[in-house]
Amino acid sequence: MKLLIIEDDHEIQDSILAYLAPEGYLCEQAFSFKNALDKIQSFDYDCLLIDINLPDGSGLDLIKEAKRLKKPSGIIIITARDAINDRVKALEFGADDYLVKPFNLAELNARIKSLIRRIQFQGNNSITYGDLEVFPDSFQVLAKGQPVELTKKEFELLLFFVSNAGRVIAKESLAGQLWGDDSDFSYSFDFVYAQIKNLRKKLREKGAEDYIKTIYGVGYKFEKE
Amino acid sequence: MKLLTKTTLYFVTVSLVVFFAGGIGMYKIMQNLVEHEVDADLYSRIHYLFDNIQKLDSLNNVVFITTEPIHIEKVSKPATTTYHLKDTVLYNRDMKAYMPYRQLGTTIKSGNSYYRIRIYKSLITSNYLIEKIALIITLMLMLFLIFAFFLNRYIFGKVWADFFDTLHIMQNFRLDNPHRETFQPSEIIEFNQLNRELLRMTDKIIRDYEAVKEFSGNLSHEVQTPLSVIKNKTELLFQESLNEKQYKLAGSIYSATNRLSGIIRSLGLIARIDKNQFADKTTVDLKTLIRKHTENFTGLMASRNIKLESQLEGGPKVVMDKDLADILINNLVKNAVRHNIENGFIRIRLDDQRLIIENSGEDPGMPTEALFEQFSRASNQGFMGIGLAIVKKITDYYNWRIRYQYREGVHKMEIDF
Repeated sequence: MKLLIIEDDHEIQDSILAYLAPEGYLCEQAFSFKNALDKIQSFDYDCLLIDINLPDGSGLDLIKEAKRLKKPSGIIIITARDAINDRVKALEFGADDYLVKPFNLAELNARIKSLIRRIQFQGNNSITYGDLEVFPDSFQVLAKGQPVELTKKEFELLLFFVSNAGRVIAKESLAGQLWGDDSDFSYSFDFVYAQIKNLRKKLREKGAEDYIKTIYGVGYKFEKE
Repeated sequence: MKLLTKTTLYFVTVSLVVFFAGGIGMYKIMQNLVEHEVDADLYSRIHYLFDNIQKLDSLNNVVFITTEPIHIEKVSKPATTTYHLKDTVLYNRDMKAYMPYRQLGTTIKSGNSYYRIRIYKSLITSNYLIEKIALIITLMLMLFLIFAFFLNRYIFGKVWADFFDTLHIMQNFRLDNPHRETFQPSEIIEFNQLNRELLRMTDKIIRDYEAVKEFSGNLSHEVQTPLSVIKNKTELLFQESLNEKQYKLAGSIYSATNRLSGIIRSLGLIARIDKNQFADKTTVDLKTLIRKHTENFTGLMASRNIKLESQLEGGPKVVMDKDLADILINNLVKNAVRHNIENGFIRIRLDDQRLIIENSGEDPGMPTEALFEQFSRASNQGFMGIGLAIVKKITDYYNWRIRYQYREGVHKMEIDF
């Protein structure tokens, strides 16, 4: 799996790279428009992560170029919050998904995985993790082969956990996953906690192992023993 | 109190006092004059009588030719001879009533006898005269007052016209859509000075406002990158094998960064509304939008056993930016869920004119109007003002009226479209 990360800020580049490293992707970095253009024209990537705001050009033109060259890449863009027009244009030009700055890495990771799944399996796919098999497109979950009835929110949580398996996820990221961006999640932490409790209960009832661990002061970690 | 009312009130009060005092004064003077006239007449008549008596040497021979009553009676010798003037009443046979008279009495010697003579003059005519004159004066004063009243209004209108022009211009002054005002030059120096000062002030306000807008716009944009870095590095830190204490520290950093990011984002949003960056005009279906957002919070409501009652009737034709519509409804619903209590309720009513959202909740502990301010903080509910500030900003942007009340455990938010 080959990724090109186009982002002019080195710190952010490094963070993305570090977070994605355990996934085993082959990540390349581009720090400028020109640099990115060269790479897109010369190589094929499975996924392009494009920051629209580059010092020497607009990421929008990179999308156009990739589409013109009929590159098979999935495209995720990163935009500033107030650049709604950019976002709309990017999606019109053929970007698959977008993230708004400042994003969290768990979310980025989940989006990349979801995009790659869509490109590779065209919908008919499932993610297997331990006792669980999750079908992202049909919202179904099998625990030890048995179907589990989950609410939409519970399913979203589980999918997010599975996508970020082995990582410590902040409760803010989970709340954000359930409600979209919000300035203050504190009022919904109890609800997140309740959802996770329900999720655990439902999975355990089917005999699946409990992979959700509480990390005190931060959030949760979804991990096999 | 209006300027005109105030000046008229002063004018009328002062006029009435002056007129009243003046009227009484004039009345008194007139009365005095008439009294003098009457007395002089009486004296002249009594002197005439004396002359006659002296010439004829006997009272018996005096021919009394007089239309006024005269009393003569014989008395014993008085100590001194003096004149007595006084007001009195006499019975008038023609009128069959007691009438006011002025009386002049004295004692006179005729032959060897002394007589007390009292002559009278009727005061009916002079009193009548005084009354009529007083009436005329009063009427004239009234007429003058009425005339002066309207004259005052007329002059007021003329003199203050430029002031009201200025006032009108200032009332229409909008900071969110500022342009340099043009005041008409006035003949009155003070008004020109006022206009000049206002112009100077509005210019300064507009400049400062633009600068603040620019600043918050830039701020919210520029801090995104460093915030992203803090956020992402903290997430990376989570992945290290930390001990419990370190996790807690990192968790706090992450929470604070998120909060900061939220504040900055809200400020950015407000700055963008100020800059008219939401020009999209879509006929928004509020019903669907409300359903979408309430659905999003169903789980959260259920977890706190909050009951939702929504009456979505009719659909106001609301033309607005669809992103702002989404933000508006989301903020309202979120607010109602968030500042609610266990086993509470949320009531949403939508008809053609207005949207009303009520929810149970604790007393915000401050005037509800203040909650629309950007950084207000309710007593024990933490940071909340900015959500409502955004709601207010959006309703202001579209000139909708918004009211927020708290009464007996119920928060009520009402928007008239």
